[in-house]
Amino acid sequence: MGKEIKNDYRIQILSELDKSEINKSLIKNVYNVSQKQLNTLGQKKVYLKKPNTVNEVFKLFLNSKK
Amino acid sequence: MIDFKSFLEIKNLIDTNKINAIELVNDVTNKLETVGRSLNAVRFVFKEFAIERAKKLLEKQEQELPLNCIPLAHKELFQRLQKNGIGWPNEAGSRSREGLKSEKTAKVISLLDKAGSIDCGRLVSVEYAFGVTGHNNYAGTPKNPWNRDYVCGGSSSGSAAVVAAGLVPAALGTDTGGSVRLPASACGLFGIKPTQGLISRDGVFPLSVSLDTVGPLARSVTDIAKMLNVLVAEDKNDKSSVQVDKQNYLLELDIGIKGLKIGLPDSYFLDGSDEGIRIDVINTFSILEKLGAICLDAKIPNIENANDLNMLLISSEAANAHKNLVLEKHKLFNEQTLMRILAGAFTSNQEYKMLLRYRIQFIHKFLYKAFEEVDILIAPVWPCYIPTIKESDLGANSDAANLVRRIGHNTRPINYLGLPAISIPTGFDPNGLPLSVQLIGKPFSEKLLLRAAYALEKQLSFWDIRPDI
Repeated sequence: MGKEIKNDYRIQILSELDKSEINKSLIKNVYNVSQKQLNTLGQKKVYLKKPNTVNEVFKLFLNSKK
Repeated sequence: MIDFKSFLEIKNLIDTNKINAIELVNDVTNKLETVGRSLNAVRFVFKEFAIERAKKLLEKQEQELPLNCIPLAHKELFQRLQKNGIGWPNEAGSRSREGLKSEKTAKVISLLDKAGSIDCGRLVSVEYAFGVTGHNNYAGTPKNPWNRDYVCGGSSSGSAAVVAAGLVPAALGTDTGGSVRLPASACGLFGIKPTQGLISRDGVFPLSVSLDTVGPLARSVTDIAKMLNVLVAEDKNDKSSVQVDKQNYLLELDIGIKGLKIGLPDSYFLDGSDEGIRIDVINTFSILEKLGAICLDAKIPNIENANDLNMLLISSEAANAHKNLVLEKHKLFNEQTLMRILAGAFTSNQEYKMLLRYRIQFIHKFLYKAFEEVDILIAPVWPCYIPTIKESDLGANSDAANLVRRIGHNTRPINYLGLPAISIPTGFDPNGLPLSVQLIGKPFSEKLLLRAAYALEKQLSFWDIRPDI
């Protein structure tokens, strides 16, 4: 489908689905949805290197408000 | 017998010997089997187990336990392994998991046991908790007690239906993209999605390891607070679990909201909601002001993409967690669920890491801007009036796709942000179905949210308005 799939199980899923009775247009549809979401992600720039976890962000924020 | 009663009312009945725990369990389990099943809300009732438990509690006479003899039932994602080795079904609302049993007891279930509650059974979930309407063609689609033609919302649909029908005073649900708040709202209940990490997910069927949260649904704020008092505890078995100072969520519930700064976001939430919903939120905002809150316009960063990114994160983690079953039993999945999970199968490891990294940055930016001047944000829960089961059935009605896509518009970004939010019933729409708003707080501000919710509850006074069961 024009995209490199790196994980084995994902290749497996696609190959299983190809063999299955699932409507191929639905698989294509879901692929398109996924591409749209991945494109949204692809347009983002990550400039914040730290904090590393959601909880660290929370702590930092709450401490700054004390 | 205990229909529509609060924790306190049930406790009073027991303490004054007007009812004993065994009679109570008999009544509740019978009603779950009859009324609950007629609403398609119940998966499994464990009457024998519950009666044994009631007998033990009667022998112990531990009236000081916070939930002594309170009968509860929960979404079917919560595992229980009995001491005799019998595991309760662990099907997550899916034919693909038919016959699978619990291998442990969820931490939150153990905490509720320790607090003296009586677990009576498991309630219908949307398949894999991945859906917002409540449709489930395997376990059954729960009917809304306010009007059985309408959905309960999902994915904690069974939990909302039985609490709204007054069969149990509270139930646990899970919320990954709105799955506590949407059904609580559709059924006229309070439902809280806690801050990420506040309540353990150990032993709960996973959809998204980053986004899943556990939260209670109840008919009153006080009962939500009582549940939180029991449920909030650090758990080493849940990597997201955080240590917080022990709080009593009942304390200061009734001190009012004078001076509390509540903001109406200047973008996104109202823009994506229908006129009737917008009016209800603005009316509620005015009520909060009359109650003494300082109501402000809140400038929030652009969160337009949070919905898509939340969906991508859920799908990617669901595909990863359930790859084996997806591979082996894809024919047994509902087509819609399978497609939602498969949307995540195309995410590479590198993209997944980027997804997590970007989320942290997104939260960081949002917190500092959105809460610069306010303590709490107000927003709608549903962007539209509650739809009928028929009009929102994706399997039978292709026109439903747009409607269903919209439903999580106001809830998913809050999961993406990891923040706490409580849904609050505010009135009824022209079809007689409940309306609601959500209050969204800073991390770990559940106590403040409960205080504001309590003020609204007392002002709007819905306690005596009940669906005709």
